[in-house]
Amino acid sequence: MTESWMQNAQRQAASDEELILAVQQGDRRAYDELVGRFKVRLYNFVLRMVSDPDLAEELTQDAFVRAYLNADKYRTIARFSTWLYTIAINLVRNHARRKKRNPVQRLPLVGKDDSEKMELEATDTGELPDRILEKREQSRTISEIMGKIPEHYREPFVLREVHDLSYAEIAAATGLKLGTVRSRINRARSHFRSHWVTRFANEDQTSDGGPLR
Amino acid sequence: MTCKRAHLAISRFLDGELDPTGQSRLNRHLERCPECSAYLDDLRQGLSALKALPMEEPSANFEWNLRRKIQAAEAEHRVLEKQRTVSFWPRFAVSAAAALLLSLGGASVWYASLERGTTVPGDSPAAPAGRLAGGDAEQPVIGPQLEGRGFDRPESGFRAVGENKGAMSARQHARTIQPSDETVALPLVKQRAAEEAADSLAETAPEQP
Repeated sequence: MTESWMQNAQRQAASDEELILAVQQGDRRAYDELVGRFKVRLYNFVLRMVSDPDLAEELTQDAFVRAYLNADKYRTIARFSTWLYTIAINLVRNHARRKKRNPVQRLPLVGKDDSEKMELEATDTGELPDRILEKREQSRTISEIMGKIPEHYREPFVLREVHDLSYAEIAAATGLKLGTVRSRINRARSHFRSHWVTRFANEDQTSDGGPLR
Repeated sequence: MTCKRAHLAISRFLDGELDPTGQSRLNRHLERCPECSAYLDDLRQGLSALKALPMEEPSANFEWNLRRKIQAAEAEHRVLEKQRTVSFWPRFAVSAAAALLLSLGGASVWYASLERGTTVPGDSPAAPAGRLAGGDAEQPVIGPQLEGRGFDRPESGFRAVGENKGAMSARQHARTIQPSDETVALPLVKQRAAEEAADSLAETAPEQP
Protein backbone atom coordinates (compact mmCIF):
# COMPACT_ATOMS: atom_id res chain seq x y z
CA MET A 1 0.00 0.00 0.00
CA THR A 2 1.29 3.48 -0.86
CA GLU A 3 1.57 6.07 1.86
CA SER A 4 -0.86 8.40 0.07
CA TRP A 5 -3.58 5.81 0.44
CA MET A 6 -6.06 6.19 3.24
CA GLN A 7 -6.21 4.19 6.40
CA ASN A 8 -9.44 2.41 7.29
CA ALA A 9 -10.57 5.05 9.78
CA GLN A 10 -9.82 7.82 7.30
CA ARG A 11 -11.85 6.06 4.66
CA GLN A 12 -14.84 5.77 6.90
CA ALA A 13 -14.67 9.46 7.77
CA ALA A 14 -13.98 10.62 4.22
CA SER A 15 -16.65 12.12 2.00
CA ASP A 16 -17.75 10.25 -1.14
CA GLU A 17 -15.87 12.74 -3.26
CA GLU A 18 -12.65 12.29 -1.28
CA LEU A 19 -12.98 8.55 -1.67
CA ILE A 20 -13.40 8.62 -5.43
CA LEU A 21 -10.38 10.93 -5.67
CA ALA A 22 -8.45 8.32 -3.66
CA VAL A 23 -9.67 5.68 -6.17
CA GLN A 24 -8.24 7.84 -8.93
CA GLN A 25 -4.89 7.58 -7.11
CA GLY A 26 -5.21 3.78 -7.18
CA ASP A 27 -6.71 3.17 -3.73
CA ARG A 28 -8.90 0.16 -4.36
CA ARG A 29 -10.10 -0.10 -0.78
CA ALA A 30 -11.57 3.37 -1.08
CA TYR A 31 -13.79 1.96 -3.78
CA ASP A 32 -14.89 -0.88 -1.50
CA GLU A 33 -15.96 1.78 0.98
CA LEU A 34 -17.98 3.57 -1.73
CA VAL A 35 -19.61 0.30 -2.78
CA GLY A 36 -20.53 -0.35 0.85
CA ARG A 37 -22.11 3.09 1.11
CA PHE A 38 -24.10 2.98 -2.11
CA LYS A 39 -24.90 -0.64 -2.94
CA VAL A 40 -28.27 -0.74 -1.14
CA ARG A 41 -29.41 2.68 -2.38
CA LEU A 42 -28.38 2.03 -5.96
CA TYR A 43 -29.77 -1.49 -5.95
CA ASN A 44 -33.14 -0.23 -4.67
CA PHE A 45 -33.26 2.51 -7.29
CA VAL A 46 -32.57 0.01 -10.08
CA LEU A 47 -35.00 -2.48 -8.54
CA ARG A 48 -37.78 0.14 -8.60
CA MET A 49 -36.99 0.75 -12.25
CA VAL A 50 -36.77 -2.85 -13.52
CA SER A 51 -38.89 -4.75 -10.93
CA ASP A 52 -36.67 -7.83 -11.13
CA PRO A 53 -34.26 -8.55 -8.23
CA ASP A 54 -31.69 -10.53 -10.24
CA LEU A 55 -31.64 -8.10 -13.12
CA ALA A 56 -31.46 -5.18 -10.67
CA GLU A 57 -28.44 -6.77 -9.02
CA GLU A 58 -26.75 -7.35 -12.35
CA LEU A 59 -27.33 -3.77 -13.51
CA THR A 60 -26.22 -2.35 -10.16
CA GLN A 61 -22.99 -4.32 -10.37
CA ASP A 62 -22.48 -3.13 -13.94
CA ALA A 63 -22.93 0.45 -12.76
CA PHE A 64 -20.26 -0.03 -10.10
CA VAL A 65 -17.91 -1.66 -12.63
CA ARG A 66 -18.35 1.26 -15.02
CA ALA A 67 -17.85 3.79 -12.28
CA TYR A 68 -14.64 2.03 -11.24
CA LEU A 69 -13.24 1.77 -14.75
CA ASN A 70 -14.10 5.40 -15.45
CA ALA A 71 -13.13 6.75 -12.05
CA ASP A 72 -10.49 8.97 -13.67
CA LYS A 73 -13.26 10.72 -15.62
CA TYR A 74 -15.02 11.83 -12.45
CA ARG A 75 -14.69 15.57 -11.84
CA THR A 76 -15.50 17.23 -8.54
CA ILE A 77 -18.02 19.57 -10.18
CA ALA A 78 -20.74 16.97 -9.48
CA ARG A 79 -21.46 14.95 -6.38
CA PHE A 80 -20.30 11.36 -6.56
CA SER A 81 -23.81 10.10 -5.85
CA THR A 82 -25.23 12.10 -8.79
CA TRP A 83 -22.50 10.74 -11.06
CA LEU A 84 -23.17 7.17 -9.92
CA TYR A 85 -26.92 7.55 -10.41
CA THR A 86 -26.26 8.89 -13.92
CA ILE A 87 -24.33 5.74 -14.78
CA ALA A 88 -27.09 3.53 -13.36
CA ILE A 89 -29.79 5.52 -15.18
CA ASN A 90 -27.96 5.08 -18.49
CA LEU A 91 -27.67 1.34 -17.92
CA VAL A 92 -31.37 1.06 -17.04
CA ARG A 93 -32.32 3.10 -20.12
CA ASN A 94 -30.09 0.94 -22.35
CA HIS A 95 -31.68 -2.16 -20.90
CA ALA A 96 -35.18 -0.77 -21.54
CA ARG A 97 -34.22 0.04 -25.14
CA ARG A 98 -32.83 -3.48 -25.69
CA LYS A 99 -35.95 -4.95 -24.13
CA LYS A 100 -38.15 -2.94 -26.49
CA ARG A 101 -36.16 -4.11 -29.52
CA ASN A 102 -35.98 -7.72 -28.35
CA PRO A 103 -38.91 -8.37 -26.03
CA VAL A 104 -37.83 -11.63 -24.43
CA GLN A 105 -39.79 -12.24 -21.25
CA ARG A 106 -37.69 -12.94 -18.18
CA LEU A 107 -39.20 -15.21 -15.63
CA PRO A 108 -40.01 -13.36 -12.44
CA LEU A 109 -37.16 -14.26 -10.18
CA VAL A 110 -37.44 -14.22 -6.44
CA GLY A 111 -34.36 -14.50 -4.28
CA LYS A 112 -36.01 -16.18 -1.35
CA ASP A 113 -39.32 -17.82 -0.83
CA ASP A 114 -41.75 -15.40 0.82
CA SER A 115 -42.60 -17.74 3.69
CA GLU A 116 -38.92 -18.37 4.38
CA LYS A 117 -38.28 -14.63 4.32
CA MET A 118 -41.18 -14.03 6.70
CA GLU A 119 -39.81 -16.56 9.17
CA LEU A 120 -36.42 -14.92 9.07
CA GLU A 121 -37.94 -11.48 9.60
CA ALA A 122 -40.11 -12.74 12.44
CA THR A 123 -37.11 -14.12 14.29
CA ASP A 124 -35.11 -10.96 13.53
CA THR A 125 -37.64 -8.35 14.62
CA GLY A 126 -39.94 -10.22 16.94
CA GLU A 127 -42.96 -8.94 14.99
CA LEU A 128 -46.08 -11.01 14.58
CA PRO A 129 -46.35 -12.95 11.32
CA ASP A 130 -49.68 -11.19 10.57
CA ARG A 131 -48.08 -7.80 10.80
CA ILE A 132 -45.17 -8.95 8.63
CA LEU A 133 -47.60 -10.37 6.12
CA GLU A 134 -49.49 -7.08 6.04
CA LYS A 135 -46.25 -5.15 5.50
CA ARG A 136 -45.15 -7.47 2.73
CA GLU A 137 -48.53 -7.15 1.09
CA GLN A 138 -48.33 -3.38 1.18
CA SER A 139 -44.79 -3.50 -0.16
CA ARG A 140 -45.93 -5.68 -3.04
CA THR A 141 -48.86 -3.39 -3.75
CA ILE A 142 -46.63 -0.33 -3.85
CA SER A 143 -44.18 -2.13 -6.13
CA GLU A 144 -47.04 -2.96 -8.48
CA ILE A 145 -48.24 0.64 -8.43
CA MET A 146 -44.71 1.85 -9.16
CA GLY A 147 -44.53 -0.55 -12.09
CA LYS A 148 -47.61 1.09 -13.58
CA ILE A 149 -46.08 4.56 -13.66
CA PRO A 150 -44.54 5.21 -17.10
CA GLU A 151 -40.76 4.78 -17.01
CA HIS A 152 -39.87 8.35 -17.93
CA TYR A 153 -42.01 9.65 -15.05
CA ARG A 154 -40.92 6.94 -12.65
CA GLU A 155 -37.22 7.70 -12.98
CA PRO A 156 -37.28 11.23 -11.44
CA PHE A 157 -40.13 10.23 -9.13
CA VAL A 158 -38.13 7.42 -7.48
CA LEU A 159 -35.06 9.63 -7.18
CA ARG A 160 -37.17 12.28 -5.47
CA GLU A 161 -39.49 10.22 -3.26
CA VAL A 162 -37.33 7.24 -2.37
CA HIS A 163 -33.81 8.63 -2.60
CA ASP A 164 -34.49 12.22 -1.53
CA LEU A 165 -32.46 13.80 -4.31
CA SER A 166 -33.06 17.49 -4.90
CA TYR A 167 -34.60 18.69 -8.15
CA ALA A 168 -31.23 20.04 -9.28
CA GLU A 169 -29.52 16.72 -8.55
CA ILE A 170 -32.23 14.83 -10.43
CA ALA A 171 -31.82 17.18 -13.38
CA ALA A 172 -28.06 16.59 -13.33
CA ALA A 173 -28.39 12.81 -12.99
CA THR A 174 -31.06 12.37 -15.66
CA GLY A 175 -29.87 15.04 -18.09
CA LEU A 176 -33.32 16.64 -18.04
CA LYS A 177 -34.15 20.31 -17.63
CA LEU A 178 -35.27 21.44 -14.20
CA GLY A 179 -38.76 22.32 -15.49
CA THR A 180 -39.09 18.89 -17.11
CA VAL A 181 -38.07 17.19 -13.87
CA ARG A 182 -40.66 19.22 -11.98
CA SER A 183 -43.46 18.44 -14.41
CA ARG A 184 -42.55 14.74 -14.65
CA ILE A 185 -42.53 14.36 -10.90
CA ASN A 186 -45.90 16.10 -10.72
CA ARG A 187 -47.32 13.75 -13.36
CA ALA A 188 -45.79 10.71 -11.66
CA ARG A 189 -47.40 11.76 -8.39
CA SER A 190 -50.72 12.06 -10.15
CA HIS A 191 -50.31 8.55 -11.64
CA PHE A 192 -49.20 7.16 -8.31
CA ARG A 193 -52.16 8.68 -6.50
CA SER A 194 -54.73 7.43 -9.01
CA HIS A 195 -53.33 3.85 -8.89
CA TRP A 196 -53.11 4.03 -5.12
CA VAL A 197 -56.74 5.09 -4.80
CA THR A 198 -57.92 2.54 -7.39
CA ARG A 199 -56.04 -0.23 -5.66
CA PHE A 200 -57.36 0.52 -2.21
CA ALA A 201 -60.84 1.34 -3.46
CA ASN A 202 -60.91 -2.19 -4.93
CA GLU A 203 -59.71 -3.61 -1.65
CA ASP A 204 -62.45 -1.65 0.12
CA GLN A 205 -65.03 -3.50 -1.95
CA THR A 206 -63.50 -6.93 -1.23
CA SER A 207 -62.61 -6.36 2.43
CA ASP A 208 -63.31 -3.89 5.17
CA GLY A 209 -59.76 -2.60 5.26
CA GLY A 210 -58.94 0.62 3.41
CA PRO A 211 -55.79 2.57 2.86
CA LEU A 212 -53.99 3.29 6.07
CA ARG A 213 -54.89 6.84 7.06
CA MET B 1 -57.20 28.71 -8.92
CA THR B 2 -58.04 25.81 -11.24
CA CYS B 3 -57.71 22.19 -10.12
CA LYS B 4 -54.78 21.68 -12.52
CA ARG B 5 -52.92 24.59 -10.94
CA ALA B 6 -53.90 23.30 -7.53
CA HIS B 7 -52.24 19.94 -8.31
CA LEU B 8 -49.04 21.74 -9.29
CA ALA B 9 -49.23 23.79 -6.11
CA ILE B 10 -49.79 20.59 -4.09
CA SER B 11 -46.67 19.12 -5.64
CA ARG B 12 -44.69 22.22 -4.66
CA PHE B 13 -46.24 22.16 -1.22
CA LEU B 14 -45.14 18.54 -0.71
CA ASP B 15 -41.62 19.56 -1.71
CA GLY B 16 -41.73 22.46 0.77
CA GLU B 17 -41.28 24.93 -2.07
CA LEU B 18 -44.58 26.77 -1.96
CA ASP B 19 -44.29 30.39 -0.82
CA PRO B 20 -46.77 31.79 1.76
CA THR B 21 -48.89 33.52 -0.91
CA GLY B 22 -49.19 30.31 -2.92
CA GLN B 23 -49.96 28.40 0.21
CA SER B 24 -52.85 30.66 1.19
CA ARG B 25 -54.23 30.46 -2.36
CA LEU B 26 -54.01 26.68 -2.26
CA ASN B 27 -55.73 26.61 1.14
CA ARG B 28 -58.60 28.70 -0.22
CA HIS B 29 -58.96 26.32 -3.16
CA LEU B 30 -58.84 23.22 -0.95
CA GLU B 31 -61.59 24.62 1.29
CA ARG B 32 -63.88 24.88 -1.72
CA CYS B 33 -62.74 21.77 -3.67
CA PRO B 34 -63.25 18.36 -2.03
CA GLU B 35 -61.59 16.54 -4.99
CA CYS B 36 -58.32 18.43 -4.64
CA SER B 37 -58.51 18.05 -0.90
CA ALA B 38 -58.86 14.27 -1.31
CA TYR B 39 -56.04 14.35 -3.89
CA LEU B 40 -53.70 15.90 -1.31
CA ASP B 41 -54.73 13.44 1.42
CA ASP B 42 -54.30 10.38 -0.82
CA LEU B 43 -50.99 11.60 -2.11
CA ARG B 44 -49.62 12.33 1.35
CA GLN B 45 -50.69 8.93 2.55
CA GLY B 46 -49.39 7.01 -0.48
CA LEU B 47 -46.05 8.82 -0.51
CA SER B 48 -45.48 8.29 3.19
CA ALA B 49 -46.17 4.55 2.68
CA LEU B 50 -43.68 4.56 -0.19
CA LYS B 51 -41.02 6.33 1.87
CA ALA B 52 -41.62 3.96 4.78
CA LEU B 53 -40.89 0.87 2.66
CA PRO B 54 -37.75 -0.84 3.90
CA MET B 55 -34.87 -0.90 1.46
CA GLU B 56 -34.30 -4.29 -0.12
CA GLU B 57 -30.86 -5.82 0.42
CA PRO B 58 -28.96 -7.19 -2.55
CA SER B 59 -27.80 -10.81 -2.29
CA ALA B 60 -25.04 -11.77 0.16
CA ASN B 61 -22.50 -12.42 -2.59
CA PHE B 62 -23.12 -9.05 -4.25
CA GLU B 63 -19.68 -7.65 -3.41
CA TRP B 64 -17.84 -10.86 -4.23
CA ASN B 65 -19.50 -10.98 -7.65
CA LEU B 66 -18.78 -7.31 -8.16
CA ARG B 67 -15.08 -7.80 -7.37
CA ARG B 68 -14.94 -10.65 -9.90
CA LYS B 69 -16.64 -8.50 -12.53
CA ILE B 70 -14.22 -5.64 -11.90
CA GLN B 71 -11.23 -7.99 -12.20
CA ALA B 72 -12.58 -9.44 -15.47
CA ALA B 73 -13.30 -5.96 -16.85
CA GLU B 74 -9.82 -4.75 -15.87
CA ALA B 75 -8.19 -7.75 -17.55
CA GLU B 76 -10.24 -7.17 -20.70
CA HIS B 77 -9.37 -3.49 -20.59
CA ARG B 78 -5.64 -4.29 -20.34
CA VAL B 79 -5.81 -6.72 -23.28
CA LEU B 80 -7.65 -4.17 -25.41
CA GLU B 81 -5.13 -1.47 -24.53
CA LYS B 82 -2.28 -3.80 -25.43
CA GLN B 83 -3.89 -4.77 -28.72
CA ARG B 84 -4.49 -1.14 -29.51
CA THR B 85 -0.84 -0.14 -29.01
CA VAL B 86 0.70 -3.28 -30.56
CA SER B 87 -1.46 -3.38 -33.64
CA PHE B 88 -1.27 0.34 -34.38
CA TRP B 89 1.77 0.27 -36.71
CA PRO B 90 0.79 -2.79 -38.82
CA ARG B 91 -2.69 -1.36 -39.18
CA PHE B 92 -1.26 2.02 -40.10
CA ALA B 93 1.00 0.42 -42.76
CA VAL B 94 -1.88 -1.56 -44.26
CA SER B 95 -4.10 1.52 -44.32
CA ALA B 96 -1.38 3.61 -45.95
CA ALA B 97 -0.75 0.92 -48.60
CA ALA B 98 -4.48 0.65 -49.30
CA ALA B 99 -4.76 4.42 -49.65
CA LEU B 100 -1.79 4.49 -52.03
CA LEU B 101 -3.22 1.68 -54.18
CA LEU B 102 -6.59 3.38 -54.29
CA SER B 103 -5.11 6.70 -55.36
CA LEU B 104 -2.97 4.97 -58.01
CA GLY B 105 -6.00 3.10 -59.31
CA GLY B 106 -8.03 6.28 -59.35
CA ALA B 107 -5.30 8.12 -61.21
CA SER B 108 -4.98 5.39 -63.85
CA VAL B 109 -8.76 5.29 -64.39
CA TRP B 110 -8.80 9.06 -64.73
CA TYR B 111 -5.89 8.96 -67.19
CA ALA B 112 -7.59 6.22 -69.24
CA SER B 113 -10.83 8.18 -69.41
CA LEU B 114 -8.87 11.25 -70.45
CA GLU B 115 -7.28 9.33 -73.31
CA ARG B 116 -10.64 7.92 -74.41
CA GLY B 117 -12.07 11.43 -74.35
CA THR B 118 -9.49 12.72 -76.87
CA THR B 119 -10.01 9.86 -79.36
CA VAL B 120 -13.81 10.05 -79.50
CA PRO B 121 -14.00 13.26 -81.61
CA GLY B 122 -11.52 11.85 -84.11
CA ASP B 123 -13.60 8.69 -84.56
CA SER B 124 -16.89 10.44 -84.89
CA PRO B 125 -17.60 11.91 -88.32
CA ALA B 126 -18.51 15.52 -87.85
CA ALA B 127 -17.61 16.48 -91.39
CA PRO B 128 -20.77 15.34 -93.16
CA ALA B 129 -22.78 17.57 -90.90
CA GLY B 130 -20.53 20.40 -91.90
CA ARG B 131 -20.84 19.63 -95.60
CA LEU B 132 -24.57 19.36 -95.51
CA ALA B 133 -24.76 22.64 -93.77
CA GLY B 134 -23.05 24.06 -96.83
CA GLY B 135 -19.71 24.67 -95.24
CA ASP B 136 -16.32 24.34 -96.78
CA ALA B 137 -14.66 20.96 -96.45
CA GLU B 138 -11.68 22.68 -94.89
CA GLN B 139 -13.85 24.78 -92.60
CA PRO B 140 -16.65 22.46 -91.59
CA VAL B 141 -19.69 24.03 -90.00
CA ILE B 142 -20.34 22.38 -86.72
CA GLY B 143 -23.81 21.63 -85.53
CA PRO B 144 -24.60 23.49 -82.31
CA GLN B 145 -24.97 20.25 -80.42
CA LEU B 146 -21.38 19.31 -81.24
CA GLU B 147 -19.75 22.64 -80.59
CA GLY B 148 -17.23 22.76 -77.83
CA ARG B 149 -17.01 18.99 -77.54
CA GLY B 150 -13.92 18.57 -79.67
CA PHE B 151 -15.95 18.15 -82.89
CA ASP B 152 -14.94 21.59 -84.06
CA ARG B 153 -11.38 20.46 -84.74
CA PRO B 154 -10.62 20.49 -88.45
CA GLU B 155 -8.99 17.04 -88.42
CA SER B 156 -12.11 15.40 -87.00
CA GLY B 157 -14.03 16.52 -90.08
CA PHE B 158 -11.42 15.45 -92.60
CA ARG B 159 -11.39 11.88 -91.46
CA ALA B 160 -15.07 11.24 -92.11
CA VAL B 161 -15.68 13.18 -95.33
CA GLY B 162 -17.67 11.21 -97.85
CA GLU B 163 -17.90 8.21 -95.59
CA ASN B 164 -21.12 6.88 -94.27
CA LYS B 165 -19.12 4.16 -92.59
CA GLY B 166 -18.20 6.54 -89.85
CA ALA B 167 -21.84 7.14 -88.95
CA MET B 168 -22.63 3.47 -89.01
CA SER B 169 -19.63 2.50 -87.04
CA ALA B 170 -20.40 5.13 -84.45
CA ARG B 171 -23.92 3.83 -84.08
CA GLN B 172 -22.72 0.27 -83.98
CA HIS B 173 -20.14 1.31 -81.49
CA ALA B 174 -22.82 2.92 -79.39
CA ARG B 175 -24.88 -0.24 -79.54
CA THR B 176 -22.01 -2.52 -78.74
CA ILE B 177 -21.34 -0.63 -75.58
CA GLN B 178 -24.95 -0.84 -74.51
CA PRO B 179 -25.19 -3.00 -71.43
CA SER B 180 -26.38 -6.30 -72.83
CA ASP B 181 -25.29 -7.73 -69.52
CA GLU B 182 -24.75 -6.00 -66.22
CA THR B 183 -21.39 -4.57 -67.17
CA VAL B 184 -21.50 -0.93 -68.16
CA ALA B 185 -18.51 0.38 -70.11
CA LEU B 186 -19.43 4.06 -70.01
CA PRO B 187 -21.66 6.06 -67.81
CA LEU B 188 -25.23 6.24 -69.09
CA VAL B 189 -24.97 9.93 -69.98
CA LYS B 190 -21.97 9.33 -72.22
CA GLN B 191 -23.70 6.42 -73.90
CA ARG B 192 -26.76 8.52 -74.64
CA ALA B 193 -24.63 11.36 -76.02
CA ALA B 194 -22.78 8.92 -78.25
CA GLU B 195 -26.04 7.39 -79.45
CA GLU B 196 -27.61 10.79 -80.10
CA ALA B 197 -24.54 11.93 -82.02
CA ALA B 198 -24.54 8.75 -84.08
CA ASP B 199 -28.27 9.02 -84.79
CA SER B 200 -28.15 12.63 -85.88
CA LEU B 201 -25.18 11.86 -88.05
CA ALA B 202 -26.97 8.92 -89.64
CA GLU B 203 -29.98 11.12 -90.45
CA THR B 204 -27.96 13.89 -92.03
CA ALA B 205 -25.30 11.81 -93.81
CA PRO B 206 -25.68 11.35 -97.61
CA GLU B 207 -26.80 7.98 -98.90
CA GLN B 208 -24.01 5.82 -100.24
CA PRO B 209 -24.29 5.27 -103.93
